[in-house]
Amino acid sequence: MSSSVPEHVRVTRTRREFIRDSFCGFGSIALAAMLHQQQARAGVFNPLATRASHHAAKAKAVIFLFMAGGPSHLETFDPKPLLNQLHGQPRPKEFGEAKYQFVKSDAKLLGSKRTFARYGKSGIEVSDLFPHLSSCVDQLAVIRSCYGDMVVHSAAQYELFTGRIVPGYPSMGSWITYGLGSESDSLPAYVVMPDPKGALEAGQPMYSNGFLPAVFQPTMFRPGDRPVLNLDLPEGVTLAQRRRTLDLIRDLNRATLGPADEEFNARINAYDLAFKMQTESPKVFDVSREPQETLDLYGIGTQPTHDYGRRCLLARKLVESGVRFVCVVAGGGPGNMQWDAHNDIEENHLRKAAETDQPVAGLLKDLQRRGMLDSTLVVWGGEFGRSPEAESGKGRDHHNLGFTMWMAGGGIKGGQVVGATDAIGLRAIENPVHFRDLHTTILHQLGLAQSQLTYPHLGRNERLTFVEGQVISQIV
Amino acid sequence: MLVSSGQLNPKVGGPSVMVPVDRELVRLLYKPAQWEVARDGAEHHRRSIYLIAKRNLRLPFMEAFDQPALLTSCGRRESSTHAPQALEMLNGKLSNELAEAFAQRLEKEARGEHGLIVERGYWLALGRAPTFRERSLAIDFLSAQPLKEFTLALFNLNGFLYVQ
Repeated sequence: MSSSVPEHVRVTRTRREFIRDSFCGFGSIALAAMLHQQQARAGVFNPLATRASHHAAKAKAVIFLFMAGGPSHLETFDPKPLLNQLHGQPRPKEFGEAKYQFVKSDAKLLGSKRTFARYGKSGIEVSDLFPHLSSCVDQLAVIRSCYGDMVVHSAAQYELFTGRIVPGYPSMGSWITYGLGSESDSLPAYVVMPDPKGALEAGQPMYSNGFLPAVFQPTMFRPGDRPVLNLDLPEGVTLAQRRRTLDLIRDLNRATLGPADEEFNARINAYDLAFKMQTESPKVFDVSREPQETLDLYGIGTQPTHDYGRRCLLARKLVESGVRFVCVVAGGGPGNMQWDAHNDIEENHLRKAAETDQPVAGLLKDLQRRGMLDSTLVVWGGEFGRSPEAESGKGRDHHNLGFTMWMAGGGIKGGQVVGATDAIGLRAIENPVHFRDLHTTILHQLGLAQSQLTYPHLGRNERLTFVEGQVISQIV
Repeated sequence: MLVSSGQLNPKVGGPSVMVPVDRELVRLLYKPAQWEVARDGAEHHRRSIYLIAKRNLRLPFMEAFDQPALLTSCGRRESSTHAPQALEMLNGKLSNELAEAFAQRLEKEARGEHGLIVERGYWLALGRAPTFRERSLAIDFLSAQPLKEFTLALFNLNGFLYVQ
């Protein structure tokens, strides 16, 4: 260090030595406490190193199949014969009140045109929207009694991902990466694959790391063959040239590196990891090398399943390579390009189901035959369901009081139904499951306890769940 | 990086600046048309305090280096070290453009002489002279590699990234 330049203290180094050496050695006790706290804050050293879970884990990765916009439970997994009988009539008083974005209290009930049948050994009812998925029903834990607190997209999406109805809090993917680290040393630990059709109302904050350190941010995949930002070399630079530049950086750093400086080491490691990501990840992102049989299984190469099929296959490949949390978004941009069927429930859901049914089933089957399903937790659902009452004649409005999500794999006991809604599908009345209970269950399968996975922020030890949630004991 | 390469626009005050970002990121906005890049290129090289702070489109460079999320209060800035930062510095547009500008500046000021280039580069970027070992490593590098890769390497040294 040049003596003519005023020495600005580099906090992580000098403060440590100062405290350690001061106060006749009592400083070292304080130092140990500080280091412990620093490590509790996922430290500076390698925040992505694999960490032990709190209790025995069944799953080591999560794939969240996010049906954006709010898929109707009444058209998919929750048959309501009474609703069809009462079609065209106002909602009977005994079912109570509900709050909607558009539908008024004098609205008429809308029967469902879908046919339901029982499938598999478990005999769970699935609608004719999902011919492929219905063959996988024995692996699904269908939760018919989900409910949330908000009836508008952004707030409900924040609650689904972060446990709060306002933006700014870390998403479950970030919490999980914070809790468990990454198993891959050449891929980002937390990936979101948005729908190419556009962004969602809640925007980036629902996926984001919030107040958790930036290292737990999601990597947003872009459509096309080069999904990760900045993974490409700039124009005119070859890989060989870049390797030599990296070697220079390493050599020049080492020429001045102090022996026990961990932050410096961490930064050097970050460069090595970055180079690895550049050279090794293209293999994972390249879907074209898979056998034709696999491409056919997911519906890749045919319409309308190509896009979602491709992204589901990518999800499997990412998890196979050690990625912790992958969110594959079905629906983006305008409401009708999501599951947000305000105007015509039939047209919208027939289209969205056609795009996603085969890919989702393909993913489950592929995970199963590769022996990955037991360690990969798959979650399907949206930020709410849809109203039993009609909107604009043939549509359904947002509906948060009772709707369906399902979980599979990751140690979940499939082939069963959890909870139930009332006779017209308005409200979850039996074994209601809030998003916080879903979160608690997801964490539980990964071996994490909601009360131990905390992060100090603004004077509080924050956690994923706002109000404490319960594990859905029936399915774990 | 702006100062070293001589690109910093020291203008003070005025409305916030929207800088060019990757098209894919703008498409993630619910209304992509609202991202109107400042037409005067010189505006892009002002201090980062003048860049627009948009909660739904965080500039990748700022986000990678722990800019707070702008949604809740930030009592204390995080200071993390991770691979996306390395990727941003190595492959990102900003660092590569400024490395190119820095290379041109060094070319002009040191009149192409490698020893002088290394000396001047170290003073501008790291605020000190290179050691004997650093100088020889760098001159070796420059004998075979483009100057712009050297200036990019300077931007990625611990001595540049950390205040000592």
